This record gives sequence, structure tokens and C-alpha cells, in this order.
Amino acid sequence: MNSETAINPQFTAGLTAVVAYWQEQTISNTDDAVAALDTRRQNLYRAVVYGLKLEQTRRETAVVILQAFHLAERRGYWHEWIPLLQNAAAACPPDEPLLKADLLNRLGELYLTSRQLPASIESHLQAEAILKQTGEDHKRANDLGAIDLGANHLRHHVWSNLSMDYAFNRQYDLAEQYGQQALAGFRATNAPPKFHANVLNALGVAAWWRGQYDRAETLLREAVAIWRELNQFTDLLRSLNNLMGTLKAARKYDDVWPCYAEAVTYFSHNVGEYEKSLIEVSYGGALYEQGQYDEAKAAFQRANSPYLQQSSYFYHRATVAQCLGNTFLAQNRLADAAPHLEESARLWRQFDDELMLANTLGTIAELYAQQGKADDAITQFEQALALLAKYPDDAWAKKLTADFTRQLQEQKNGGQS
Amino acid sequence: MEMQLNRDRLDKDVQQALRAWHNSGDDSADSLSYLLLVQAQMAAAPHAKGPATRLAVNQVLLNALEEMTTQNETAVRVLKLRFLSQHSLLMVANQLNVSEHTVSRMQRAAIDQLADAIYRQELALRDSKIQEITALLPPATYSQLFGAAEIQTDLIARLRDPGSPWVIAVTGLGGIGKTALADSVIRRLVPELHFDDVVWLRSAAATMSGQSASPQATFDTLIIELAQRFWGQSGVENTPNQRLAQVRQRLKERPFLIIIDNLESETDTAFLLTQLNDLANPSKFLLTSRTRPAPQAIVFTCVIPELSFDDSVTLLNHHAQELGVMALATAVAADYQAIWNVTGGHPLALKLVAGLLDVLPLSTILGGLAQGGAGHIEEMYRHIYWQMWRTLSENGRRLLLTMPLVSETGGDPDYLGVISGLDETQLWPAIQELRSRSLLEVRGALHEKSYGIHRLTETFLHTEIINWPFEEQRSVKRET
Repeated sequence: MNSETAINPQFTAGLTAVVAYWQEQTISNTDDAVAALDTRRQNLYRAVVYGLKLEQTRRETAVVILQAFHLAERRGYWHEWIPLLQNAAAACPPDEPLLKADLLNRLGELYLTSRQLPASIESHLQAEAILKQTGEDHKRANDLGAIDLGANHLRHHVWSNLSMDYAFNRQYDLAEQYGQQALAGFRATNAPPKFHANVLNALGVAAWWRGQYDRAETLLREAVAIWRELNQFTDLLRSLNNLMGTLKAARKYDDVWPCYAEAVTYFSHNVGEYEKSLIEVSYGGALYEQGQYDEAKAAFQRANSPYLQQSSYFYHRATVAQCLGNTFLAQNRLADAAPHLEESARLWRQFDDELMLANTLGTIAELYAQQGKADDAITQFEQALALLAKYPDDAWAKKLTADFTRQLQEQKNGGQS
Repeated sequence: MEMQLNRDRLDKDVQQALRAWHNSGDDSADSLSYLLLVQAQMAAAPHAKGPATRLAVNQVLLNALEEMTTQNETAVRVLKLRFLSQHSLLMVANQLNVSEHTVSRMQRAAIDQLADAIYRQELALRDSKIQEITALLPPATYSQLFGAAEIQTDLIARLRDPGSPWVIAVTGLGGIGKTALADSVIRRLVPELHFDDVVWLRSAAATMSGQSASPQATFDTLIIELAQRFWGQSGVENTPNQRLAQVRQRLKERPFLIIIDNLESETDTAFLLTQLNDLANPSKFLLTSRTRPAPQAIVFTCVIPELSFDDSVTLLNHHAQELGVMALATAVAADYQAIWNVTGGHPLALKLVAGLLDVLPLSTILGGLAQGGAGHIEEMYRHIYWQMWRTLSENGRRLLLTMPLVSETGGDPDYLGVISGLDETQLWPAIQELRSRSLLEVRGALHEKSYGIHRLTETFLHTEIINWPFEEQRSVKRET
């Protein structure tokens, strides 16, 4: 028996109406629109949960989910929305391959934001495979007109996301490959500038983490300029943050401060608290490297806002805890540093991020060294170096390896360099 | 904190405090340390050098003397000479050119005036603190509480008790009035200022879906909310462990009363109970939950019983009067007895019956309802809801059956219009109708009214009206 036949038709009509209503309400993805949507998210969520259950509302609900993606992504609501996207993609009928690919693409983005990298890559590769198959099917049917711009555009978007996935996964060649493919595709189809900015941002991040700082700066400045032109403040802050990170890595501190000053002017707009926190961490990091520990600590504490503490941004929370721990350590406030570093290590282990964990373990080792606990320090340095050895191609891993190896040797020599 | 402010005793305490003006130890200052004025002084200067209570008491005395100056300068002079400058009666008498006896009389009168001034200041401060605490409580969702006097008194006594129990759980079925009882208890306790502060936390919607990620996440969120209440956004420690330590220290230093309302999840409740005892003493926790704590939990459990016959009658009449339902005006004892027999004294059920009496004869409402027995409560609610449903207008039904689409936060009238498809001229009468049947709950503040339904109403709609097959069948059984 079809269980849906008995459902009250007036309720179904109400559900259909509310899904249509939310389709209208989620069309815009500007920062202001997302902020306004955020205040009504519980009713949106409920409508979507109901809408996905019924066959007659499922497709339109999937459209709502796609349109509401920015709310989930910018406000850290992936805990609730990942299952919705999974359900929507799984229930997508076979004759809707583009819709399914779109859902998988967005699902992958949420996986990436929540730092579930294997799932993110898998989801984006699935989306790519569907789009590739669709194109081949149409070619075989000699229906080239059916391969519309939308499908092509979506494919480029998936490549752009794969570029970021692989950058985060420290597979920089693949990140570069997919990024260049996406860029070429967007250029060929004359896609709106925001898509160019996204892929430039991904390529910039990969270049930064590879140690190609000049190239990263060029790419990221180009992305920033596009977002600035579009008044897309949240994305602008994200690219500015990456640019600040690159400049800091290149030790171009004098170029970091203007970026921070510009970023702060956008804080009064409806931008996410997460993006503000990112900026404060980059700024604090630059101050820290300049030895301005009090100012750095103040920036990290601003980054560690109550919002962040209650949010699902566990990865960033780990970063902030690490930064605070480092700063207290630099100020020789060992008792204050310890809880932050332990908290950070706990969070990194949750994410299985070995490079970040190695960095934290090395810092804890430095703490032990300062406390005169040489054996504990040696153990922690060795654990950190074992993890770092897995990433010979990573610029930061190389830097940490050199640093920790030197300190390990000092501890083994009884504290003498 | 000592609660009672006794004007007669204040004279003696003020005199003792004046005599102790120059004492370096803190013990002598205890005579006025129970005053909020003194505690506020100490809080304002937490790092003051010297004996903190003594300095705070002296500042309170000085402030009151200052206030007296405009009214009676001589009295202030006498007190300052006698206690601040430590002049003898004879010295003061010579300075004022009066007899020692007169100085003694002037001194007594001045102390009385000083005590008056302190009394007024203390009352004003207490009023302001009570208002401050009350303003942060959620608005009461009831106009009057019935049949709860005994349990209310018992709870108040346990919360007033400076010893255990430290954690109290108010439990009971949905619709029985747990939140209302907790609210009424708190509103009685707040003016007594037994606690430094009373903090009401609602355990709900940690996520959009209303489900917390984990019991630990629920607990962490509660700790953050407490920390923010105590220190504001910027004063909260950074890591969960540090925050917990920070909050624990505050709750251990001074007595606070923390209410955690609406604990739905059994695992959340069980986990919280394992954590809260460590934070309690002298602070206390009051929880409301549908889940009865496990026997091994260190918690005093207060199960809300159904209303007695007399209380049910009072509630029925009160609610009918509020709704403008006249049917009960001619009710006799047997009618009330019949209602009570089938509703079992459940407040929500009684309210629903009161609403129904506006449109149906009592015999129809109660007809066919089994009395007592297993599953009686579920059957009773199902029956009443069905009666209610049958009496609703077409538009009332249309609105009600789409209300499950509205989240716990409620929906504004525009949203209700969207889901029901009713235009404005149809919507407001439908809202009014559902309100008059106690089917629609009003939420929100003065400028933003939103509407929602009780969980039991939603369950009825799911299982009986909408035939929604996707969720677990809750407490209301399907009609066969």
C-alpha cells in the first residue's frame, strides 16, 4: 500500500505552498538575505524536513535546499543540513541528473566546510561523474543541444570545488589541475565574475600552502578585487584572510596591516562571525610573528568569540586555541598556555588532521622544554616529527620539521644548542 | 545571604558598625554585612586594600551620612565626632556647648536617622535587584496556578534550605504544568533574595532541528550561557574546561539558583545530572523534564500529580471565565465529577474541555470515554482532540492541520497565512477560534506575536488528521 495516499490533501497543499514560499524566500544569497533568513531558519528547516518526505514535494524541496545552501554554509549549520542534502541527493529521480549533481556538489562543499575531506572529494567526484555521463549520453543520442550551459557551468563549479578540496587535502598538483580546468571553463563560458573569484581563491590557497607566495598573492589579490567589486563581503573576507595568510608567510608584514584595516571596515555589514574570527586570527598571527604578544593575544581573544565557542567550527576553534596557547607560551605564561594547547590537540585529533596536530604536539613539547621536562618534550617532538614526515611536499611541514628537529636535538643534548 | 531586613534590628546593627569603624579585622563589620548595599560596595571594589567588608560597611555608612547631611547637619556632626574622630561624649558636649546627656540623646536620634537612611537605600537596592532578576525571566504562560500550593510550598522550602537537595527535578507528563510550576516557585523566591541571582535557561533548539548534537554539547551550551550571564560576552573563558572551572568557582562562591527548563531528552537529562552536583552547593539547580531521573541519580525528584477534584473545578471555572464560556454557569457537582473522572485532572485536558463546552454539550464531549485504566490518558486526549476537531469551522481546521509545519519558535500571522492558504479576513477569525479552544499557544513579545501548538496537539494532528506515516507514533493512538 502506498502510505502517502492517505495523507490529508489539505496538509499536502499546505506543504506545497510552504515549499513554494521558501523557494521565493531563498532566492537571494546576499549577506543581508542570509542574515534575514537566519532569524527564521527553524521554520525553513521544518518545511524542508517535511517536504523531503513526500514524493510530490521532494523535487521543489531539493531546490529550496540548494538555494538555502548559503545559510547552512555561512552560519555553520552543516550538522543539520548535511543529512538533508544526503537525503535529497539519494532520493533524486534518475531523470534529474543535473539536480542530483547540483545537490552532490553542495553536499561536498558542506563536507569541506566541516573538514570531512574524503567525503567532500568523494561527493564532488560523484557529481563530476554524473555530469560527464550526462554529456556522453546526450552525445550518443546526438542531442548536443541538450548539453546546456547550466550543465557545463555546474561541471566547472564542481572542478572549482575539487580544486579547493585537494588544496585542503594537500594534494597540490590535483588542486592546480582542477583549478586550471575550472578557470578555463568559466572563461570559455563567460561565467559571472564570482565564479572566477572562487577558483582564483582556491588556486591562491594551493599556491600559498605550496610556498609559492608571489603567485598566491597575485591570485588572491585578483579574487579580492572581484569580491570587492561585487560587494560580497563574506567572500571578500575569506579571500582577504587567505591573502593575509600568504603575506604573513612571505613575511610581508607591512602589507598585512592594510588588509586587516580593510577587513575590519566590513565587520559592520551582515558578515559571518566566523569570517571575522578568521581575520582576527590572521592578524593576530602576524602580530605574534612580530613579537607583539599582548596585541596578538587580544586579537586571538577577539577571534575566540562566544559565537565561535558555540558554533560547529571545531577546526577553527582548534586553530584559535593553538594560537592562544602559542602566545601564552611566548609570554612564558606556561600555566595559561597548557589548557589551550591541550584543547587544541584534542580538537585536531577529532579531525584527524595530522599536520595541525603535529604543530600542536611540537608546541606542547616546547612547553615541556620550558618547564624543564626534557623526557616529555622529547616524546612530544618525536611524535610531531613522525606525523610531519608524511608530508614531504608541504612547505609548512618542512618548516616545522626543521624547527622541531633542531629543538629535539637541543633537548637530547641536555638543553644545549 | 540573609534575607529578612528588620528595621528594628538595624538601629543596633548600625550602632555596632559605627563603633567598629576603626577596627582592622573583618569580624566586627559583620553586623551590616548582610546588606545588599555592603555586598554591592564589595563587588564594586573587589581588589580594595585592607579588610574588604569593613571598608565596604564604612562606605555604606558614609553614603548614608552624606544623605543625612542636607536634613540634619548636627546629627551627622555628632556621629562623625563620636565614631569617626572617636571623641568622648564630654569632648563632643564641649564642642557643641551642650550637656553630655544631650549629646547622648542626640547620638541615639542620629543613629535612628542613619538607620532610616540605610533602610531606605537598602529597600531601593533590593527592589531594583528583584526587578532586574524578574525582567530576565521568560514571560509567564499562565494566569493562575491551580492545585499546586502544597508542591509549591515544598519546593520553595527545599530551595530555601541552605543545605541539600542541591539538584531538584520537576517531572511529569506533557501538559501537566512543569514549567508553570517552576516559574511560580521562582517568582515567589526572587523577592526573598535568597540567591545572588536566578538564571533561567531553556534547553531547546541547540540546533535548528531542536536536537542537541550530544549531551556534552547541551551541557557545554548551558555552561556558556551561564558564563555569559555572569561575565558578559567578553569575560567568558576560552576553553570548555576553563569555562567550566570559571562557572564552577562562581557557583561555589555564592548561592545562585539555576533553572534548566524543558529537558526533553533522556540522555541529556541523565548526563546533566551527573555534572550538576559538582557545580552545586551553595548554588542550586531546578530542572523540568518529562523524563524521570534514574533511581541512582543524586537528585530530589518532584513528580507533579494530576489535579484533585476541587482544583480541577477551580481551574475549569477560571479558564471558562477567561475564554468567556458560559456553559459552566449551570454545572452541578455531578457534571464536574464527570469531567474530572475522564480528564484525570490533567490541566491541558481540562482547558481543552473548557474550550469545547462553548460549542458542545457536556454529554457529547464525554460520551464514549473510558474512565481510568491503562492507556486512559492517551485515549482521553485523543477523544477530546477529536471532539475539538469536529466542532471547528472549516477555516479553523485548515489552519490547525497545517500548524505542524510551524517550528517550536512559532510562526507569525503572515506565515500562518502561507501554510493555511487563508487570506487575512479568514485567518484572524480562525486564529481567534483556535485560541478560544486553547489549541493555539501565543509566543513572542509585545511587538512580535507568533503562534504555535502544544506537542500533544501536534501528535494528534500527525496521527489522526494528517495521517503522517513517517514519524514514530507518539502517545496518541490512531483511531481504528
